[in-house]
Amino acid sequence: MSDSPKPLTILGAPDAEACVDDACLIPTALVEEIAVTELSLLVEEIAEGDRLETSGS
Amino acid sequence: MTEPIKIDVWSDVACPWCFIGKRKLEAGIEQFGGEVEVEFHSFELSPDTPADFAGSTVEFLAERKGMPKDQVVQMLERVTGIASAVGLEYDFDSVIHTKTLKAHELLHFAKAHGKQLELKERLMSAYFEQGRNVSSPDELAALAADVGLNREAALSALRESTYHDDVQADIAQARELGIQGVPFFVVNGKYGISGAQEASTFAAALAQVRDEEAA
Repeated sequence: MSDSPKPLTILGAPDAEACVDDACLIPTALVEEIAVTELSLLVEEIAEGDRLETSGS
Repeated sequence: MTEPIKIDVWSDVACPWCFIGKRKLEAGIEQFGGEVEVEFHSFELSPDTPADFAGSTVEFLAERKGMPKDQVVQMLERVTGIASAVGLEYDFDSVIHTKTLKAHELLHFAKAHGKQLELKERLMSAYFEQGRNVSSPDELAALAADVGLNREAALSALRESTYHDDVQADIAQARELGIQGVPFFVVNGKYGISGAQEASTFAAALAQVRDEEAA
């Protein structure tokens, strides 16, 4: 390999299974689902915090 | 006489699709039938994994991703089945989930001594099929000896982190090439093939490169 690589021409199926991090066993769709769940929980936490703040004031 | 086609492979020892991809690449090379030279490069999928993590892959993924354990188990069963289809016997119950930096250093030590391909196979099998600890210098040195490398020299290289910079150079090169996931195969520095593709895909890519070189 040279020190300054040229752009590669990509061959093969675009959906072949690979690992992008330690969660490489998790299908992409599921990762997205988890992210959405985590976001929903965060929104709920913020809303709950607002409710507590409002009721406390 | 034509030059052999060069395939540079970025992969991690602890990457289940990399071992499966390795088998498919080997089958593709056989289908192709021409002369091919393969070189492996380091890629750490999870550099923040503690070397002394005491749990299984199931526990690690469940803790990291907050997934139900039974869902992780289901996914491991799926990949185990796919591995089995290419002749690999994954045993996730015995896998010791750990950091792979030292294993990559050892692969560079092996490359310097002409045994990289043998050690790559040995390490992946040790990790996925035999529940060996691929972050322990003593265990790694024993695995090095299995493929004919000098155990004491390997241990010394690991303790002194002799090949640390070579591992980082591989990772930097992957970044320059835009590689985000592994396995990733670069054919003659020109074509990129991502993931555990079918053997026929590798064979077709090799034939294409051979034809272009001959034109």
